[in-house]
Amino acid sequence: MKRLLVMLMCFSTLCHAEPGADELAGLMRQAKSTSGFAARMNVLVTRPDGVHGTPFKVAVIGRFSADKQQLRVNGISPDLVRGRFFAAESARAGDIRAVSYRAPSEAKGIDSDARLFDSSLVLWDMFSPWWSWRRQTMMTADRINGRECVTIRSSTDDKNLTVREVESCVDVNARLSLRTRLYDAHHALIRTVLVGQAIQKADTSIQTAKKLTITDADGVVTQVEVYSGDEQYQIAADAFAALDAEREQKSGAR
Amino acid sequence: MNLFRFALDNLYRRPARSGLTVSAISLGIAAVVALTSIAWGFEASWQKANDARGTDLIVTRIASQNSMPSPFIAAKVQDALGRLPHVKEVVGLLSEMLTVSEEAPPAFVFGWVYGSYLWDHLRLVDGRWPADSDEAVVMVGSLASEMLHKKTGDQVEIEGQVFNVAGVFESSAVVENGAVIMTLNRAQALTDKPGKVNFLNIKLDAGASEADLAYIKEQVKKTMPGFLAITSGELVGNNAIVRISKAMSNATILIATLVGALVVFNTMLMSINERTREIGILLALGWQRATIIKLVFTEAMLLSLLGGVIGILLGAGLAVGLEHLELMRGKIDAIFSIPFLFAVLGLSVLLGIFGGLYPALKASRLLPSAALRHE
Amino acid sequence: MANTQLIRINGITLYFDGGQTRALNGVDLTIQEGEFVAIVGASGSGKSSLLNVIGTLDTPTAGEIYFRDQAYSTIRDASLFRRENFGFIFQDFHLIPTLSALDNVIVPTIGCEGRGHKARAQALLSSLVLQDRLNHFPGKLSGGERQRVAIARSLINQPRVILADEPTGSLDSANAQQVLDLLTQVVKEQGLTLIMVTHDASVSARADRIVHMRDGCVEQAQGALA
Repeated sequence: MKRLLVMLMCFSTLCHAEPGADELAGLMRQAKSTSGFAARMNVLVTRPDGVHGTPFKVAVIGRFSADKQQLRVNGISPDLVRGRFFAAESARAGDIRAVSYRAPSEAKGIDSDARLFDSSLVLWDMFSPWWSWRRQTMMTADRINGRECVTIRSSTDDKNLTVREVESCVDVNARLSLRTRLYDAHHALIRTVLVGQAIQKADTSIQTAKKLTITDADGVVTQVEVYSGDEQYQIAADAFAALDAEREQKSGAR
Repeated sequence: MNLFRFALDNLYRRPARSGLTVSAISLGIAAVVALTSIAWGFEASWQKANDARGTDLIVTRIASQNSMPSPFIAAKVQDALGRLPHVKEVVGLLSEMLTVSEEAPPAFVFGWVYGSYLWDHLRLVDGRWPADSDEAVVMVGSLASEMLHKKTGDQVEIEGQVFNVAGVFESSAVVENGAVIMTLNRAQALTDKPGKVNFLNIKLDAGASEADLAYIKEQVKKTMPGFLAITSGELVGNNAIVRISKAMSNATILIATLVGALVVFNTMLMSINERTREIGILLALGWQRATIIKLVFTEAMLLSLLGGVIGILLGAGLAVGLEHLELMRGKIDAIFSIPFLFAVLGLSVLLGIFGGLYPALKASRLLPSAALRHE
Repeated sequence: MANTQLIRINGITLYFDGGQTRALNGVDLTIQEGEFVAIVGASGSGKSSLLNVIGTLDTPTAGEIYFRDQAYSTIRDASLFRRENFGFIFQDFHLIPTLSALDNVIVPTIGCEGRGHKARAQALLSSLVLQDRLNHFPGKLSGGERQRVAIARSLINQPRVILADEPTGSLDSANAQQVLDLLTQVVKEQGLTLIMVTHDASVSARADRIVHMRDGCVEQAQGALA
């Protein structure tokens, strides 16, 4: 009888085909992998007092492969953001180096946690480095905008990081986190990223966000809508020249 | 005095109820007419754009759920396509929905290969054509010119880049009249998609037959994995917006039919319940049961047909009104065909038949003596 | 007057309300062609029920009725039979308020073959002294006029028998007399049979025969032909 019960339990929970937390984190890392992508988006920032900022457009291009993880954000319009660039890359150790520039030769290092264009867009978030953290815990199932998802808590003890804990509610089939909450070392909420609308990537069941809302703990709300994209963007050879320039500058200064 | 006049009189005796019933039916029919004509017009406009360009076949990446197929490197397949029999020209096209003016909704921005046949069907209304494949100018469709308040010599800002308006053109397709066109090179540079297109347009020579068309489609399927060759009609049929608008119009037809039939049913049932005694009298006066059925049917039919006619006028007015709405301009080109309008009238007749059937049978089955005793 | 038998009623019984109410209880009666029969009796005595059964508006539970030797149980199309043989007049006229007097008279011909209904309706209304009221609506007519329109309506299909249910019940005595005069006159001229339910002794006095009813039975018949 006892053996039967154990078997039943095994069937219902332990031996279920659903991936475990570590496995799912691996799948999420894989889903991000691309040799090049570009997305153009409209961004609207609403301050805590309800006043809207001037809407602006940016393009995000990047690549995520096993050895190279790089991103660039280009301001498109209006004048306020035009010609302003940010680039970042993730080193093997997991920390993210970011620069800001108008011309690559003048690139200056910035904090990867910095807010871009006074919005809640943060380069660090775009790398979603938490999927590489060692501690991944499966939590409960949830439902967001009518879609089922499983919550995973990723945490780290890395004292260099502002974000120490991330709670993602992942639609497993779509490999998409429908809601991502970022917490600091004292478990205080820093930001919430909520996906409003998703679109399917070509030839797969994997989805990517088309509309998302980022809410900061201080009440700033940033709405992002992707209006154009290219899943097979060809990264130009000099696309990340600014990162190299800044590195050289630094070593030169030393 | 005949059955028709008597039926008309019966409706006239209860003006409020008859009026409400006709209004309900006409609203349903109006929704059907407006949505269907817009859905068809939408499809026809895209079709027209492709037909006007003289495109025989379109090659694109197998579509994902995105409404526009994702761009691809033209060079990958362009040469192979050019070598297929009867292919005269293979021309790349990049299209994006972009904000061109803060005051107007996003518009289609097309990038066409400079000097290709795509440009041939456009008529220059004002200004000039781009001078070469790299000139940073745009051509503005006549409708886009009106909506964006831009004319030859003005400047437009697209994706943070400023372009001079070289000229204004007119096309037989509303989609193109509402669009901004530039050379493919410029569009690729603007959207950071060097070498990329959404579609390759193929023009065949005069000797090409249907069989040749089918052969080319087959060859693309076999030798170019991930790509699809389709006629403009097929492409339009696959367009998500066309599909959604058609699905919406079909759903509206279904809902309007159900609601319309229910309204007629309810009205006629109420009417014969109120007139039970009168029907008893008619039976006593020698009316045959078939005549009672005809009377109730005629009344149901009059209500639904009148609702149908008013609905068609209302729906046509609605579609034409929407066409002229600032937000919709250049996106709607409603089509009303005579067969379609007759089909809608047929639909209203169906409403009358479905809604009137049971009440008519119920009325005809009344026992005359019981009906006469009815208070 | 041809003294031939038109309607023969043999032991008819009528129940309604699912057998709970017995309206007629073994009625036997014979009516001659061209006869004016008045049916009298207290309320609920079965007068109207008898009229309905004769006019094929109700089917008797038991018993049989013959019309010129044709048994009612063998009639296939009751409404056609009714249209060819009977004209009905009701106490409350039952005219259609939104139709003119002329149109009200034409209503029973709707669905019938043939032409000339309108001319015949006009002639009938004229014979009932309503030639000036053809296009008046019922609301603009007096009670007497309305009942005269109803009489014209009962005659439009050229029936053999007029079945009148208290035709003067809603009229004052002067109007009642006039309506009765006209009705009896027309019936006589056309050689029709008139079966009339009435409460009014002065009306029944003009009948050829009076049939008394009580509790669904014919109590006694009196008069010239009784």
